[in-house]
Amino acid sequence: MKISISPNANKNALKSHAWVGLAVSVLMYWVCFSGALSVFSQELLRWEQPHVADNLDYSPATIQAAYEQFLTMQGGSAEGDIVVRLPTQDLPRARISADGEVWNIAPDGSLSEPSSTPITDLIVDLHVALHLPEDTGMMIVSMLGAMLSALIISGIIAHRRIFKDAFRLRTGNNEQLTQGDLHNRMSVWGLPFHLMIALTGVYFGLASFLTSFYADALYAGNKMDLFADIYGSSIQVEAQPQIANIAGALTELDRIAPNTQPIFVTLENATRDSQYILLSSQHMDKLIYAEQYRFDSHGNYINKVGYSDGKAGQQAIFSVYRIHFGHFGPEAMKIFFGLMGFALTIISVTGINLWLAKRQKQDILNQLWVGIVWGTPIAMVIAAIASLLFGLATKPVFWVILTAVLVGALRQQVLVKTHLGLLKMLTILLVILPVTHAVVHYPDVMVLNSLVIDVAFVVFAACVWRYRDSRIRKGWLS
Amino acid sequence: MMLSLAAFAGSAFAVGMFYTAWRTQQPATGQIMKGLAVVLMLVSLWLWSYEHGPELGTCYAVVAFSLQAWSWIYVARQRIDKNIKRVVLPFESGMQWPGVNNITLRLLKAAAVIFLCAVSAMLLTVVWTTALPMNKVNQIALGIYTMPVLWGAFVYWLCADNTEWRPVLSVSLIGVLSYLLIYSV
Repeated sequence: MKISISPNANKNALKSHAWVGLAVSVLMYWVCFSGALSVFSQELLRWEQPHVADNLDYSPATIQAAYEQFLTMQGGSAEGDIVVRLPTQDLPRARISADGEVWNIAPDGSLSEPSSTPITDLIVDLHVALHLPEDTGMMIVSMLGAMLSALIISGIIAHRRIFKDAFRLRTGNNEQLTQGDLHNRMSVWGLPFHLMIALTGVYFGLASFLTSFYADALYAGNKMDLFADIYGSSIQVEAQPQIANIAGALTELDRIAPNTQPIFVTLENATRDSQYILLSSQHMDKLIYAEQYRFDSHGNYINKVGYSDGKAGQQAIFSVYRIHFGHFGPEAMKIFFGLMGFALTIISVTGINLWLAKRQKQDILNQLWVGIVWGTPIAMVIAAIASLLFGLATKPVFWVILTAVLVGALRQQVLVKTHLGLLKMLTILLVILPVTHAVVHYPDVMVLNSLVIDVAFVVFAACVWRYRDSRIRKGWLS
Repeated sequence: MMLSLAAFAGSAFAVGMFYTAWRTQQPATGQIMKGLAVVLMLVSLWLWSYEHGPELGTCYAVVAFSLQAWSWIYVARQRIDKNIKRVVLPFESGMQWPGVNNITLRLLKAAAVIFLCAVSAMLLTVVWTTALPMNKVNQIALGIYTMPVLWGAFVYWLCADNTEWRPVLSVSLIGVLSYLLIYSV
């Protein structure tokens, strides 16, 4: 059997691919780049506060003590839920939060200091909502997931030599050829991953619209019934004590689900009569985020929601987060997911590079694109340095610097100069950042997580420098 | 651990066989190699799943296979150092802005891509998934995972078709019919 696509279909697919790719170019690049970095958000979070002790050994009593201290600090009441993030292998720190306040919990159960992670927030918030108001931003990012699936479909149809060129990567002087090969090979061989990222990405911001239609079709318009079927119905408890027995619930969980990893304690309807405890515990052999075990405020077990042995669909829905971010399995899986994310970033960039090259001219679009591509990491690194040194808010600094880079790029008329200049700047900044971090946080920086990340920045700097050097050797300056 | 290593090695061999099949000039050998590669891939998938369960196992298999293929491609890259003179294109200052009609058309197209395709894809997804003999939760989950593909397909069609009104009309019609099926039955 021979599969072939007519030249006409191929041409139209290419047109569609280019149209959609151009329409989402900048946003897609931001989301892919920040997404690749977000895979390591837990490590970055620890890197930002290296003086906070990592501790996997906690006892239910220390968590209870931290919760009671937090509750006292809040004046004995909370507007929303109180959430305790328990230490796990990938984030060995306990934290407690409510009403927008987050505190680290020391190994002895005292509240050590507020959690402050502006650099991680800068990256993660760019990925999740493009620094826009959360609802709007998440919707736009989710739309990009759908556009990514459109790009995948059109890309497959547009790629006539998909099998013939399956292993072809031509490097050397012909930049356009190399970029084309990189774009196609990375896309084709990473296709299942890219598709999964697209499909799960749409879920976060747009699933509520789809479920509204499902509620109308299957539940006579009653969304609460639909949510009860998928996420489990809420429970009603009365006359509960104001201070919950978290320690009791954690001890009981160890008996009910011994081979699971508790990750979150949520106090639903916190400090009210109807308060109850929701213990989320990860089943390590499954992709679902966690099973939820419910206890009353006295710490007596009520029931579990049932994701772990629920319907296939329920498990599939509850697996979206971990599939999207690669937060499962050993630490190496994160590195693999990070690499795949960077591959998607390279695909976004090379796609636009190819379109720009085909125009056979250079104008402000070329300058702007180079400014966006290299200006984004530059702005991120400067925002991180400014935050470490002066405690400046990262998001405004990021946007101001990015705007300045774009203005600078527009004032320059020789594309090569802009390109090489930005590469040089990024290299220098990628060295300054870990040095600044080490100086500011010495001697707390001498922990494995911080050292690995600081060394990684220097390695990235070497990669950027090598890339710049290879361009010069190819005669870019001549 | 040993099974994971075997699975990793198995998919590496599979990529190697695909590469050999791709390189060979003899179609018959190529077919055999490809067949063997597929079998090895399936064995690798089974080993991953046996060791880590079907969910994590499938994820490991996919990720390992992609990374191995990329590594193979990098190692087998062709270096072409032809003496190509780098052409520096002259910088054209200013921008050639498209006319008002053109911009309006593009904005309309963008709106169709975002709103029309999205709504129609959602409605059609609800119609076809609820027609399947499954329980409600599985229907919804299937819809959540497949709706973006349908949306993407509509977007592709809208941007690929030379006659622009055709996909717009068709996608609108699909949306309307789906709506009627959901809300009038």
